[in-house]
Amino acid sequence: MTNSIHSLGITHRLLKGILGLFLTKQLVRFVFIKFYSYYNQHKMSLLGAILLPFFVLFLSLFIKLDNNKKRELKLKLKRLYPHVSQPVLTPSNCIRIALQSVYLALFNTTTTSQQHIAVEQRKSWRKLTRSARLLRLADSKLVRSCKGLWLVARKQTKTKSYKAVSSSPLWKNSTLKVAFFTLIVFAVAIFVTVPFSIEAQAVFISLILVVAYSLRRVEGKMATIVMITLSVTTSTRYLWWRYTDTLNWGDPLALTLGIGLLLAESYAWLVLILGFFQTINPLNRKPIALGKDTANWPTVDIYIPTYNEPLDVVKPTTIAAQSIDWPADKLNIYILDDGKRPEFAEFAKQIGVGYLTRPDNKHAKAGNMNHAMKVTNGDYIAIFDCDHIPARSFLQMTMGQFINDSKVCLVQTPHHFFSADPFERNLKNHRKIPNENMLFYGLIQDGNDMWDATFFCGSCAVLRRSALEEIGGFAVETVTEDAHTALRMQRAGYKTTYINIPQAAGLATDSLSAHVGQRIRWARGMAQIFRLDNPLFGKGLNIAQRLCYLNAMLHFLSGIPRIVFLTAPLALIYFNAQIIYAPFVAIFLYIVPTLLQVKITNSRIQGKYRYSFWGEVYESVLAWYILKPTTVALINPNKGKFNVTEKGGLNKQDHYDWTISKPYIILLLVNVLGMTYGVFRLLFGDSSQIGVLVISMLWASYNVIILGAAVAVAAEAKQVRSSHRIKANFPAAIRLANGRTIKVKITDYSNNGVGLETDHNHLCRVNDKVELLMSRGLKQFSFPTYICNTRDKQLGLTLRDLDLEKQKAFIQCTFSRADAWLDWQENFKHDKPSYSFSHVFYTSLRGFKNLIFHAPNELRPAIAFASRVLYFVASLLPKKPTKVLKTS
Amino acid sequence: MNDFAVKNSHTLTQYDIEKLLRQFGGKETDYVEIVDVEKNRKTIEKYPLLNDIALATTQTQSTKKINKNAIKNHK
Amino acid sequence: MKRIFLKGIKGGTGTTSIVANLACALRKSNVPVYAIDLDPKGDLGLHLGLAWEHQLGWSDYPNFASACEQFHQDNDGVKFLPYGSHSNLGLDFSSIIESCQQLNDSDDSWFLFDCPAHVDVHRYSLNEDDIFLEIINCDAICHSFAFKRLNTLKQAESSWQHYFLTNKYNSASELESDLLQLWQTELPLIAPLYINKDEVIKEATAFRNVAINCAPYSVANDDFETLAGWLVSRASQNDQ
Repeated sequence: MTNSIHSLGITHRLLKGILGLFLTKQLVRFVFIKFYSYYNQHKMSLLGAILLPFFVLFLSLFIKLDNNKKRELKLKLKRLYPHVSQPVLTPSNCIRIALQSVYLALFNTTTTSQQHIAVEQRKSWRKLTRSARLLRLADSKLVRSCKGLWLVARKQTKTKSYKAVSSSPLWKNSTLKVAFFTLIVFAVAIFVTVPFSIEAQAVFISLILVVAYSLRRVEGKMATIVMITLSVTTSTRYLWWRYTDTLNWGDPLALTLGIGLLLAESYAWLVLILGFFQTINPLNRKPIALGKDTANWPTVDIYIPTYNEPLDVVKPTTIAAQSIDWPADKLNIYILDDGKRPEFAEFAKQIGVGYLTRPDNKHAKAGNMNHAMKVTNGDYIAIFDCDHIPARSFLQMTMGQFINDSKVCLVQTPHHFFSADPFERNLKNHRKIPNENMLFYGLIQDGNDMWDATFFCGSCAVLRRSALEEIGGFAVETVTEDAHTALRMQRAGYKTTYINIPQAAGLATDSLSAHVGQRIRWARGMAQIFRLDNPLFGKGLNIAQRLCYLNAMLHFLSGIPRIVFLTAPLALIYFNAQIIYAPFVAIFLYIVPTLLQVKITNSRIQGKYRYSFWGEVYESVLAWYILKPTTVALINPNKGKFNVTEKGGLNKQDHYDWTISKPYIILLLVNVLGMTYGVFRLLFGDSSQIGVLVISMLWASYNVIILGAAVAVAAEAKQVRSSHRIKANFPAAIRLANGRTIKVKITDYSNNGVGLETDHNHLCRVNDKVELLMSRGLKQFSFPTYICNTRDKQLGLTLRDLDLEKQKAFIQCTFSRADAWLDWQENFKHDKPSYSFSHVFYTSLRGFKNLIFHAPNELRPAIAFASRVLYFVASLLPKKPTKVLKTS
Repeated sequence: MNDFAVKNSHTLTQYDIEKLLRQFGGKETDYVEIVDVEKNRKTIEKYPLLNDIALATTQTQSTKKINKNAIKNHK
Repeated sequence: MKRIFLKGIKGGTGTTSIVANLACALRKSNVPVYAIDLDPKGDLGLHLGLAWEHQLGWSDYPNFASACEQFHQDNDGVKFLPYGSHSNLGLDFSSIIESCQQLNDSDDSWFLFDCPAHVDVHRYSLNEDDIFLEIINCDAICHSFAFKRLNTLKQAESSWQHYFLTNKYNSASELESDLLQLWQTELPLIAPLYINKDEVIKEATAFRNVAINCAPYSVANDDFETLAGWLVSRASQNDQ
């Protein structure tokens, strides 16, 4: 210690001496003081501490540096360089200072007043909105003129001359009809097969897009048919072009991959065409009233099959079934309990319904119902899954079809869910976008009904006993016994019908794994049907029915094509394999407009039932899982077991289902890596391939978005309550303890409570006892309740002490109201593809966030490190100077 | 004057039927409100006074029929 | 002119409250509404804001012309004629009913007659456009009276429209709920609506007002509006 002091002392004196030559004694002392203070107090590096005093001296030659000025200078510097941290002279800080100086020099960052900034912002915003408005104005003007033209054309059809021509007996001549038809087919064929040059293709495609654009707002069947024809033409043309012009026979890898992609595209084309055919004219069948004399009404058995569902789930269904508006002597209700549980028998006895069990459990639900058929004898059989609560108008809405036409063997109604399915719950989409179910029950079945090809869906339906007996009971050979039974009945010459009015509602699948399990079962069953009882062959079906069944089957084969689509662009990026062997411009001109056109047409047809791009998300989620069962079932239909979908479980906490999302994550990784590799190639690779590379990367990024959304679905959200709350809107009343009454509107209800809304502020408090008065038809029921929560105009009531009679009455007034589910589609506006895409995009972002948030513990350090690095880099970037704060 | 005529929609009775009819009616959709015959029978049995009255009224109905026939035959 | 007669099938069924509230409900569509109290024990005036000290009514006058002095008008514009203290035997109820024809200033006017429970319906001379509402409560006594009434109606020539209207209905009571369900299918001539038991109907009289003014958000308000609406549609059917 003393040595260093000594050595320090020597250098000190030496330096002092040298400096004393140039500077005054005062200055030398100043330098040394400053040096020591910088070095010791501010902990600067040696060099900095030496240089800084001289720098300050140099400055002081120009600027008078007294304490105030120094302080001001310090403040100003701090303001201009807000992200520089103490100690000042570190390498990262140097970078920061340098970048910030450049930023300050190049950009005007004078902190103008907030007002000025706001004005500037408003000006630019106004310019933007004005241009947007002009665009929209032009768009609406154009659309309106097209609409006007269209209406004028329509009016022309009403003129006499046109009518004379169109209704002339000339059209009835069948040969003329055939000739006309072949002419049209010939014309379409020409359009499809003639190879166009690039320019011709561009013109052709722009014409089509112009027509599609002009028909956008025109409503009506004719416009839809025109759009469908255009879509069929463009997509067929596209496929023809792909088959004839774009296979790279030279490169074997490209050839195999190219053929794979081509097969997937052919699949998509086939599904598209069949889909148009299926849904071109939904039947929208109306219910037929029965006669007023109930003595003539037939007897109906209601089967409620159950296996391992809890009693709480089956209770409301049974109670609601009992209160269906049908003469009591003609209605028999049976619980078919394969679980043989005593509490079920007890419950059945209590409320007075039948209880059936059988000695074994062969063939699951179908076997259960076959056994029940032997010991019951109603003319008709209505089937409800144990969680599907029927409305009281169910039978009166459906039975009319049987009475009207003795060939009808099945009346099916929609499966509507009052709880959120995994997609809706995990993505928080409940009631915001139509759920996955909606497309089938809202549109496809209705289209099937047009062609007399309605499928039986296993629940919420009524069947004619004699037809069932004729085919030997419910089919047991496949795991989807419902579709197979309907097929058999159709082969036997019966008709099936669909009424597109939800008359029952049930629980959706609880978790994504249960959902996927259910779809696997359906996929396997459909494949089994195709192997064992192929609807394309065999007698009893007409061509339209066969095509509808084919489309249903194809829907479940979407596993392989979807995976091909999700990985196709990577072939070009990784292997440089030209799977579409055509110049970039041609690809662009063929693919993009076709996709646009098809998307627009589909959006128009499916508008309220499915929003654009969500179909891809649903398919991606299921693709990997239905691959194996369908292929196995197609090869060997008898392999594989029947797993029952569980209903009524409770998700106790938020967690991420890694097992289920493994395939999506792998696909996602592959695509993301592909994109980074693609960027790499773009910057450093050869420039001849840039066009196709860019297209492939765009495609890959689209895949990434879709997969991101699929990943988001696997984040299982916590289920807060075990009894589901159902939205409602019907009038009721409450009677307070002091005898006064208030009219209310029920806004939601559950198994044991209601939420209601009053017209003006009520004065009730929590725990007040209140009598709830609800009615079913002409009958009014009173329920003792107490208030569990309250806000200005809203009340939450919990029912207390409900005996069985009151439970029955409550279900009658709520779940089984005739209009309980009628607004199942009313909330959904028509699809807007651009909006839907942004929705999918944001969902995808959430998916990524979830991945990171729910990362398993092994990955956490890596993620933490990565985020720290990112944060550090971000801190080096120039920042806007902070506002000056006027301090005294 | 006729403002009152549409007030029915706010009452506790008939609401669900009317909504259903409005949505799917158009033609004469006759929805039959099923009478709970069993419940009514139980009510009459449960209360002796009601039981007596019910018996008495069915008796007078049948006697009235007999009387009417008698008068007819007389003529 | 549309005439409605309201009478309790026995005393204490709440007829006068119905008359008062119905009068105000009908008055909401701005047509002339007259309420005439034919009940010696009547208190219609108190429901419609008449001062307690006021003891005169139509029964204190020798003829209708002089009795018209006793027409009062409440805040809603309902014109009502109280019974009075029966100091003059010049008028009886049939003459009052007859004389009301003279007041018929428009086709749309409503005349509501609050009839005493002890005067049988057959003592009124009713024509086919008149509506007679017999007010019942949901109990076994009214049930038996109703069927007795049905007998008498069957035997006599009855050309008017006769209905049983349920009042003070409380669905929390098992008896009432069972009985109403029975009546809705088994009792002929039962009106397709009922008035719920609501404390505010009683409370309103303490405020010298009617329930529909005191508690516009109550079920009682709804019920009386429905009643008015139903009567309007019945009356317009009569016109056809």
